Amino acid sequence: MKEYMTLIEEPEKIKGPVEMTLTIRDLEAGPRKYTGHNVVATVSPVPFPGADILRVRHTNGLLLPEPWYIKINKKLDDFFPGRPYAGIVD
Amino acid sequence: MAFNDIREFCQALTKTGDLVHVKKEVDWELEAAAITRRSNETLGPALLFEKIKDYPAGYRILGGQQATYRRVAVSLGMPPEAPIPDIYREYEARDQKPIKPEIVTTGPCKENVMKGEDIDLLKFPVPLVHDGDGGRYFGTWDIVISKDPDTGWTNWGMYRFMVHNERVLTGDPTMTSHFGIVFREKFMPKKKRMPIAIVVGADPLSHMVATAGYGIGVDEADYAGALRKAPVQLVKAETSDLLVPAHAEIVVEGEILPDAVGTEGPFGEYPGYRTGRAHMANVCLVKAITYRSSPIMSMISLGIPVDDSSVSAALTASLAIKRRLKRHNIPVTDVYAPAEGVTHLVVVGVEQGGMRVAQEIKNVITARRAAINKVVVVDKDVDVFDMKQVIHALSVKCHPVRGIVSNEVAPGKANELTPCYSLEERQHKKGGAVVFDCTWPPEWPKETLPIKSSFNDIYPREIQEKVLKNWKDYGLK
Repeated sequence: MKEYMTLIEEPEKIKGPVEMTLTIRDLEAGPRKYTGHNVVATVSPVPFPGADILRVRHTNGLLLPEPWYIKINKKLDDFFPGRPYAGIVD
Repeated sequence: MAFNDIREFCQALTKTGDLVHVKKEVDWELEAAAITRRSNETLGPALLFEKIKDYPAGYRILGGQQATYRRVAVSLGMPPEAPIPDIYREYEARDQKPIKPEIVTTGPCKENVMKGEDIDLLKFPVPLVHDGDGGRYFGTWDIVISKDPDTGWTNWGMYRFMVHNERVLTGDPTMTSHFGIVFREKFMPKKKRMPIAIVVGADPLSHMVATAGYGIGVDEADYAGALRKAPVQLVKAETSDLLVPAHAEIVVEGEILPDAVGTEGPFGEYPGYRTGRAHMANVCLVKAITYRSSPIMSMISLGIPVDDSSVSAALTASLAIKRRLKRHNIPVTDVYAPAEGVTHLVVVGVEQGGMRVAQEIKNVITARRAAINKVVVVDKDVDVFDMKQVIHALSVKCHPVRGIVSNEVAPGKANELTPCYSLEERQHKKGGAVVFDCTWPPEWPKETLPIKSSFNDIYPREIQEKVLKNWKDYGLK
């Protein structure tokens, strides 16, 4: 079973399996630990079949005490379309 | 004599007792940074970690290289025990004489070259600096080089860059930084990629100038030469026309995408807290990596003062502010950003004060951005470097109503890392600035000014001279 890490905004609002677009980091030990992947995945605070372990942190880095679960449905590109600095008033 | 590279600097710090070579294996995941952080907090030495878990012999990490004024003094070729004001004066004197860089055809940074499929950021012991950071940070104590394509101005700045994978970084230069200004104005409108170089392990004074606020259009490389009293040697990058320090340990060449974003952060930052959150930031596609054999990754374990940022960046910020105030004809005597203020607070001495001058100082300092948001203005008889004198002036000369003026700053200008700002304020870079006027109002007649009750001010000269002359005879040292 693989193990990943991610940061989620307001994770307490997620109660069961939900599909999300995320950046996850591979926690496999070694020099490549924390390599990132952008994915569409099913994540859940409760286990479900075929899922790997997901260590979830709030977006400020605080770790949730219990592990979550993740199944990667689709791998995405290394970056997302978007405009840098969007949302900041010019 | 100037240090050509970080290795010569490490040798000098070893001789002065300011660097420890750690031969025990340490983990790049938190351990190296934790050791550095604790050393910073106990005013301990810089650390050269010579054996890194998961990495071959020779791959090293250097932490805390300029985290004390002693090490800043050594980097300037001064005695390590040089007083802080002397360090400032020396920096300021050298700063008057920029020296253009010397362009060379090759250098130690070209000993090894990765291009194409060989590119691999994780070949290097990139540290995870704090528990809960969004990822591993390649750029912490770095120099990020970018260029204005219209004017040819080359900017050196210090901005954090996080590893996404072997060939992609995400980074967080603010929109009001020189990097952000050039990118937004010159590349994004044309949907063009901006070439950059992220330099790690250059000579120590090149890193210091990267923290400095020289104006738009001013090449920091000239001031690296000024501080070194010798030109810094630059060599052309492999994949762009950028010039990079020839003696750097590692140079990552990449392009910032105008139409893409990637997850970055959070990161424990220089104000001493991790206030930021994971967010969408700039994306850098790596085009080449060049590096010295047995490379040294320079790292800053950012946090509560003191560390490289609160010491070195505060010094360069103070002098940048002094230059800017003088350009605005403000009668400044000196400027000091104490390390404990983590470049949020600055003390400005003036020839003659008053609230009009104090407000003008605040407005000049916060015109482009309000990273510094607390300004303490003192009269010329207060030594800005002596916190006892500054706190005394703040306590008794700053009127609690008339002496404090604050204002909100426009969205986008405030520092999103400032811990006292709400989440909403940080998201929109909203905040404020305040000035504490600790000067005598100029309209007060001189004969009504309170007399300072100090040895130098409240005793006649002949009594002062008599006391000083007989000091040892009184049994005093």
